[in-house]
Amino acid sequence: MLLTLQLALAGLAFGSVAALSGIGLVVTYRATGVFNLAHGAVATFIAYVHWELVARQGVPEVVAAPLCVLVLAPVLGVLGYRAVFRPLQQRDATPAEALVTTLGLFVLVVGLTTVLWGNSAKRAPSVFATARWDVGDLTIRSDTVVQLGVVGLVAIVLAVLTGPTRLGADVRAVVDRRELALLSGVDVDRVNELGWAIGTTLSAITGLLLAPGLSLTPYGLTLVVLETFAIPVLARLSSLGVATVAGLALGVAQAELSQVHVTAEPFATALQGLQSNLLVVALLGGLLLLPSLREVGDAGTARSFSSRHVRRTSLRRSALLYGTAVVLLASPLTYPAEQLRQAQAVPGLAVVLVSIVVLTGYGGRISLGQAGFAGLGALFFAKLSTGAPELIALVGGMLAAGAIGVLTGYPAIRRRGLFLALTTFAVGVTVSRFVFESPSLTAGVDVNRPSLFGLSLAGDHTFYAFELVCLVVALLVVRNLRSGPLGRALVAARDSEDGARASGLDIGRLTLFTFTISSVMAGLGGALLAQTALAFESRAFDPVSSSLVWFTAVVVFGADSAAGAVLASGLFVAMELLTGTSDAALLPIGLLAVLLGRFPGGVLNGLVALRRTAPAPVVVRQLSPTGKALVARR
Amino acid sequence: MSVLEGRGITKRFGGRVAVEDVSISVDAGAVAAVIGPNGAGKTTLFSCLTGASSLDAGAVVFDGADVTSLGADARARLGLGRTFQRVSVFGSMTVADNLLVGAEATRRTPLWRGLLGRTDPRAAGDASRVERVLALLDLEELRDVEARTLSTGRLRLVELGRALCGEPRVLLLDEPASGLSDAETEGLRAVLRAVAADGVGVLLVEHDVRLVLDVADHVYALAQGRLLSSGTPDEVAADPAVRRAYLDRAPS
Repeated sequence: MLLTLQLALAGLAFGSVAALSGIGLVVTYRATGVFNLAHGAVATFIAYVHWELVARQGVPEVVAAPLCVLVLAPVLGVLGYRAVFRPLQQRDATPAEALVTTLGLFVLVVGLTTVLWGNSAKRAPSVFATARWDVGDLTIRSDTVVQLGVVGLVAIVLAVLTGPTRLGADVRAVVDRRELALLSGVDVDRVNELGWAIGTTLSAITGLLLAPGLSLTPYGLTLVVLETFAIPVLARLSSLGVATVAGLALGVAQAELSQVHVTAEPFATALQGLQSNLLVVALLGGLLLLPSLREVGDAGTARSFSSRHVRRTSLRRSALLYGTAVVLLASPLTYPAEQLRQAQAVPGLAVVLVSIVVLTGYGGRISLGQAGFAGLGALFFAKLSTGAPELIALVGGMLAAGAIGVLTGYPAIRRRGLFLALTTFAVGVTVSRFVFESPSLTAGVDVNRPSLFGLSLAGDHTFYAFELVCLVVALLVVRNLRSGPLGRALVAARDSEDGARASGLDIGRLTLFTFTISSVMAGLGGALLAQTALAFESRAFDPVSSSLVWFTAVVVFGADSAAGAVLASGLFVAMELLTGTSDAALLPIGLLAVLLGRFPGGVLNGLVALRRTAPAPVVVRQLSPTGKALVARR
Repeated sequence: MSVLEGRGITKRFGGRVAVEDVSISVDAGAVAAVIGPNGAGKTTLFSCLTGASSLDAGAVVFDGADVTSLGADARARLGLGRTFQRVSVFGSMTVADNLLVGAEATRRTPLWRGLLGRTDPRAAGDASRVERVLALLDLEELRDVEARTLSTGRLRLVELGRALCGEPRVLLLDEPASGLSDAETEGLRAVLRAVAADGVGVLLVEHDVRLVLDVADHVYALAQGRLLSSGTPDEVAADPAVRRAYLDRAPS
C-alpha cells in the first residue's frame, strides 16, 4: 500500500510534466492549426540554454529559469510564427505543408543544439531545490508538489483564455475558419502568436522539469517529449481536460507498472517493454483504436508538397542527368578500399530515401516511420546473413519489412495528414522500442556479406558494385511507378481520391500496394546499410534521428524526385565525412525545410521553377471587396 | 429496359431521415432526372446509387445484379460512371491523361504488371476511345493542357469525358450544368442526347429545371426525402404537389 502510494506520487511528478507538454501541443494546435512536431526539440533547446546559463555562466536560478520560460520561450514562439508559419498561412498552404515545416523546425533546432553544445551528455541543474517531507512513512518531494501546482495553474489560465471570453471566442473562430475569422475582424495574428507563445512556454517548462532526471543530450530529451504525443492523441487534439487527466494517469500507471512482476515468458519480456514504454504503447493504441482525431481544416494528402506538375523531361535532359549520376555514383569504384568504404553508405541510404519518395511523393502519404522498416530489413538480413546466401538473406529482410509495411498500410487507407503521420511515427517508435532495443533480439547479432551465386561480396569493391545494382533496380521500379497506367493511377489517387474512386480505382488496394513497395524497398536499403556497417546498430534506425530527419531531407529535395533522394543521401554521407559527425547535415536541411513555404515542391523544383519562363499559376483568393479591403488594411 | 434501379432506398443521418423509401429506375438509352428543392435529399440519393454512402434500407440493382454491398470503385468498374457536384478531376494531369485514367481504371489489372513495366494487351483501344470522347466534347484543343488551369465549365466536361471513357452503361451526373455558360449548357444538352442515343442510361440531378424538362424522358421529384411525383416531364410539371413544393418557389 505504502509502495503504491509512493509510486503514485512519483508517477504524478512525471505525469504532470507530460500533461504540460500535451497541453502545450493541444493549445498550439487548436489556436494555430499546426501540430508542432518540433515541440520536443524546442524543449531540449531551452533546457540547454538553461544549462548554459546556470552551469556555465553562473547565472542564479531565480533569474535563469524565468528568463528561459517567460522570455526566451514565448519570444521564440512568436518569432517562429512570424518568420515561418505566417507566410505559409498567407499562401493558403495545406496542413500537410505546415506539418512538414514543423519537422523542418525540429531538424533545424536539433541541428542548432548540436552545433552549439555538441553531442556529449550534460547534467542539467534542477530548477527547484528539492525538499522532502515525511508524512508518516510516506516521503513527499517538494518538486512533485510544485509540478502539480504548475499544471493546475496552467489548466486554470488556459480554461479562462479559451473559455467564454472575447479572446476564447476569437481563438475558436480562428481555429474553425481562418478566412471567416479574418473577414469578421478577428485579429488572427494575435491569436496565432498567442497559440505559439503558450505552446513554446509550456515546452520550455517541460524541458526544464524533465532535463534533471535524464542526462541532457540533443535527441534523448527530444524523444521523451515526443512520446508525450500520446496525450494530445488521447485528448483527440481537442480537450484540455482530457489531456491533463491522460497525462497524470499515464504517469501514475507507468510508475505503478514497476510493481508488477511476471516470470513466465514471453509475458515477462512484454511487460518489461511496457514498463518503460507505456507512453509509446498508448500513442499507438490511441491512434489505432480511437475514432479519428478532431483535425483542424482539411487533413489533405501530401500532394501539395510533392510536385505540382507532371514533368515531362526531354530524353536528352534525362540522359544527361542520369549519365552524370551514374558517373558520380560509380566513381568510388576507382578509389582505394579505405576511401571506398566511406562511400558505401550512399547507395543503401539512397534506397531508403527513394522508398520515402514512393510513399510520399507518389502515394501522397506522409510516412514518419521509414527507419522502422529499414531497421527490420537490416535486422532480419543480419540474422539470416550468417547462414544463408546473400539473395535469400536480402529477400528475408525485405519480407520482414514488407510485413510491417502492409500492417501499417491498413490503417493508412482511411487516415490522412496529421493522423497518418502520427500513426506511422508511432509504428516506427514501437518497432524501435520493442524490436531494435530488445536485447534478446539484437544482442550479439553478427552481420556478414554472404556470397551471391558464388561471388564473394566480402571485397569492398564488389560489394559497392552490388549496392549500385540494387539502387538501379530500385530506381527502375520507381520509374515504372511513375509511368504507364500504374503511374497515372497513383497520381490520380493523389490528386483526387473521389475522382479516382469514381473512375474505378480501388484506393485501399493502391494504398496497400504503395506501402508494401515502399517498406520492402526500405528493407532492402536497411540490409545494405547493415552490410556497410557490418553490424546492426539500433541507433542507425532511430525513430527520431533517422526517420524524421530522412523524411525531412526527402521533402527538401523534392518529395517526388528520386534523383533528389539520391542527392540527399550523398549529402548526408559527404557532410559526415567532412565534419566527422552525422548531425552536420541537420542545419542546412532544417533551414531548407523551414523555407519550404517559399519553395513549395522542394529545392530542386524551386530551382527549376526559377528557370522557368512561364509565370507561376496565381492563387486567386476568393474574397469579397470588403474582404480585400480588410486584408489590405492589415 | 432498366439498367440501374434503386429500390426503397432509405438513408438516415443520426435521427434525421435524409431519404426515405425512394424507388427510382434508369432505362438504357433514356435520360432520367431527379429534381427537388434544396435539402430534398437529391445528393444523398445520388450517393446511395453511386456507392459513395451506404444505405440504411433498400437495394441498388445494376443490370439485374444486386450491387448494394459494393463500393463506389467496384460499381464504377461494372459500368456506373459519375460526375461530382464539386468537380473532382486530376489537377496535375493533362486533359487527355484524365480521360485515359477513365479508360484504364475500369479494368482491374494486377499491380505488379505495371511495376514490371509490362503493358496490358486490353489497353489497345484506350487511345482511340480517348480521341473519340475528346472529339465528342470538343476538347481536342485542350488535350495537353493541365487540368488545374481550366475553368469550371471545361472541368465539368473533362469529368464527363473521364466517365464516358470508362464505357459506362449508366451515367450519373450531379448538377452538370452548374457553373456552365449558356453556350456550354447548350453543348451539354447535345452531348447528353448523343450519349443516350448510344444506349447509355443517364440520370441527372439538376437545378436547371429548363434543362431537365427539355432533355429528360422521365422525371422524379423529391421533397423532404420522399418521392413526391414521377412521370414524363409534362406530367411532373403539371402535378400540383410538385408545383407547390418546388416549381412555384424556384421559377427559373
